[in-house]
Amino acid sequence: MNPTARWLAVPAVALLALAPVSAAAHPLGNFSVNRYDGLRLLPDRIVDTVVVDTAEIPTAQDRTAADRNRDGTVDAEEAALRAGQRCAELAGAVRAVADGRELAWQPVSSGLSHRPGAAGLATARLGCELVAAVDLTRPVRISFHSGADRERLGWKEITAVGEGVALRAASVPRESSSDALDSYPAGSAEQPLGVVTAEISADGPAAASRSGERRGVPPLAVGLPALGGIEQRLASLTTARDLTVPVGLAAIALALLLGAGHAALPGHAKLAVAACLTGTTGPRRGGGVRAALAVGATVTVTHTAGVLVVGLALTASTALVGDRLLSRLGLLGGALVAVIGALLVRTAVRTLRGRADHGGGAPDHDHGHHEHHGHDHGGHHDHGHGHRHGGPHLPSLLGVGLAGGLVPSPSALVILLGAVALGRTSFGVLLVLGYGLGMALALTAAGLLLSGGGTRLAGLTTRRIPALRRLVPYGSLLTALVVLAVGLGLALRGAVGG
Amino acid sequence: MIRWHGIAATVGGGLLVLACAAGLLALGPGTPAPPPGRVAAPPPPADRLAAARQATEARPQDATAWAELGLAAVDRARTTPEGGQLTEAARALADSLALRPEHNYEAQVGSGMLANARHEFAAAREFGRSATTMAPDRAAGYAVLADAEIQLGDYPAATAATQRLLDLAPGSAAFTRASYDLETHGRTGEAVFAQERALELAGTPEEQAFCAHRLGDLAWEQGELATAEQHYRHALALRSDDRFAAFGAARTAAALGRTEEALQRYGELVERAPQPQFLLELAELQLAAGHPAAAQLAALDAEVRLATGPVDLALARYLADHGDAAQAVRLLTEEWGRRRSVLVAEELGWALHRAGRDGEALPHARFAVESGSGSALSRYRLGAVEHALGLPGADDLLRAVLRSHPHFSAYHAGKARQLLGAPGEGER
Repeated sequence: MNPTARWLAVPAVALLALAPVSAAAHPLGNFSVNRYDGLRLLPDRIVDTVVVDTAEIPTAQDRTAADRNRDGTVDAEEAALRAGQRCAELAGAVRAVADGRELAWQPVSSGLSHRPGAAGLATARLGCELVAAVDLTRPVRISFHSGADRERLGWKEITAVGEGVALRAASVPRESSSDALDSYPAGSAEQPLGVVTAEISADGPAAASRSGERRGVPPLAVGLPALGGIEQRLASLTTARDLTVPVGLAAIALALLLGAGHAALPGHAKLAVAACLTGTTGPRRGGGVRAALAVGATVTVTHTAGVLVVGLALTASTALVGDRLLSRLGLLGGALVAVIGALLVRTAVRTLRGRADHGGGAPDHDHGHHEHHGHDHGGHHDHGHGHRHGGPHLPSLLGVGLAGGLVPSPSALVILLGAVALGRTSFGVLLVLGYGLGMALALTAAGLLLSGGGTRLAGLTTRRIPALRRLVPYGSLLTALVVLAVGLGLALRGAVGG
Repeated sequence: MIRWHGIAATVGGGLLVLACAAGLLALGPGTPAPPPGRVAAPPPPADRLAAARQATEARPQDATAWAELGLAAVDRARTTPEGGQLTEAARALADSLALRPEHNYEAQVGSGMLANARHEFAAAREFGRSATTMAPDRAAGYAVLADAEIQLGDYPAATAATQRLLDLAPGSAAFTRASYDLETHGRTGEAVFAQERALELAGTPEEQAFCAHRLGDLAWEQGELATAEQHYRHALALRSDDRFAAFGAARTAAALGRTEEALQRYGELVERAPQPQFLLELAELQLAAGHPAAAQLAALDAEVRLATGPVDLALARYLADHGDAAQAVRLLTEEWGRRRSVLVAEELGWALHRAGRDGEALPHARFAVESGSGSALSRYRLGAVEHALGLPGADDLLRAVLRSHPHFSAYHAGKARQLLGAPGEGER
């Protein structure tokens, strides 16, 4: 469309009735009425520190009301009286509902001061402290409306902090971007903030270790000390407001890196090493490369599928819950991880029992079988009839891969759920794919390194094979127990927090 | 066989992944799947200004995007006076012209719009002329030109530009300008017809509301209060934030004797938009109703002190009636030197009358009535000037005004009655 065609529809006659162009001394314009509400949530009350910064013209409008003796000036006594009046009006206009109950606001202190503005006129700054009693020792959901007129030109801002109260989620930030209307950020006249409502979920008393967390995905991430930074970076990229192509590519690159890092964790690495070494000792020379590639591919597919299945289950179960999605995700995610953990424990125990039945014999036959059907996780596990092949074959290697990729890594899950919660599901799926690919690359690389042409490194490791082989099932059990514990912990946290 | 197992497993796994992804997409929050090969970008905002800002961020080297931002910001300034949008518009247009100094039609038009908004009509005329020279068959330049010429008092040029605009783009904007042109020439019936046509052609609720409140204004000028009120209500139903409709509704309520409602409507209006015209009407209603008007007058006084640049006619009117009439004369004489508009002539004549210079006031007041729309207020003003000069026919003129429009102004209708009741007496 012709860019000028639209403005044609703007009848310019209206422009002629515009106010005169003035030397704007006030950064938001001579007409503006600017409002800040700083909410502090304490265990027994909410304190709203209100600042109203009025520019020259509204100040002139208000001065006639403040100047009681009509002597043309507003003295200290008149200012105090007017401040009391206006704060009482504001207290009547502020609306806050805590779990369906309307709160009553009382002004406890007030003050009005004037500052010199343009053309010998004054600007005014009104300060009020309003208090509403409310019991915040238990989880409470608060809807706040400042009562400021959105159609009135000016900056409108709300902040919220907990003092002895944990804030799980708040639609407004903790810090004022205008320093409580003291210094407006650049460009604020063109795009003034227009926040007049706030939604806050208070979690009851704040524990020393839990300073109020900002909004975002539930804390599913079990931090990896070395990768924590990358995880945070990725999470912030995923939740960034403006998703551009460079940001998207950076996020995918980070997902790859994170996946590779994840593969280096205990468990995956051992599986890969075991699989590849089995491959090198097998009947076919060069099977190591194939094995490594097979394991890598399987891990990618299985891991991606695992994460997606869990994400799908969570999304499906919370789609009906609407806005309580985020608060429930912690609980559901925890429960699901716990269920997976329990199934893994059962499998691991069965495998161990199976080993005992075999008298510890033929170790190279049953390692890697213990989770052969693991891709049905959460479903039926018909174990106990381990395949007996003459050597390490592709199916067994696939089993290793399945085992390695089965457990959805919490960090990948968080990335996916975060993206889903933000309505960027497809991007989340892409990131998880990248994550799985990163894992696969790392595992394959490790496998190739170790199997490639009988190097010293491979030889070195070969000497450790027996110990490694014995340890694999116990390692699985340990991993399963950890997963179960993490799942229970997350579920518990989600239940308490929700 | 084993290979087949492997392939089957891989294919199965792949299918599972795809199925899961599809399920997630179906269940996830409703966002359309992004076009293949592209990362999902946030959808462009419906708001024109926000969309324009986004476009300039995405393409900072695009002169057209900057020009569109300038136009969108000028447009926004209509509803949020002093919102900093005019500054933003000026910067965006300067950026656009810096990127493409030559053949930048959009920026020329935008600069003309901006100059009109700033009441810098001579500059607006230059932009309009250069735009129409650059592209004689594009409409937007003629709209800028028409707006500027009518304010500068070059009525033949304004009519020519409006006619060209009508020929090129016979839409809502063209018929609105045609209506304004006809009204200025006192052809009210045709002005109403053109404005009704503009309303029919209006595409957005905003435009429709604008046309509806213009129809209200036309009815008001003819003293058809009930019709005017209908149009204003219609406009407010379309856009509750149409300030001129809110103003019209308050003014009509006052004229129909519903003073309390009028005071409340005015109060809400000046709370949101303390523009001189609105403040002055409220103050005069308060004065006529015996209420204190100090807050409004103080705000008007502050606006006079803050004002720089071209004169706002409503502020000049405030000065003439409630402030320093000599200052009003000074400001309006300067303005009359810049533009020979009937509107300026009417205000200058009135300011001269209020300053006691009725002899000088008379030609301006006559010019305003004879060459302008012949509004009730302008005829009352001429009558008051003639009355002060003791001219025959002054009282007949005043009576005619009160007959056709008994409540043309809450404040001045009473003054007119005073003049008729006590001939020869001053009106203060």
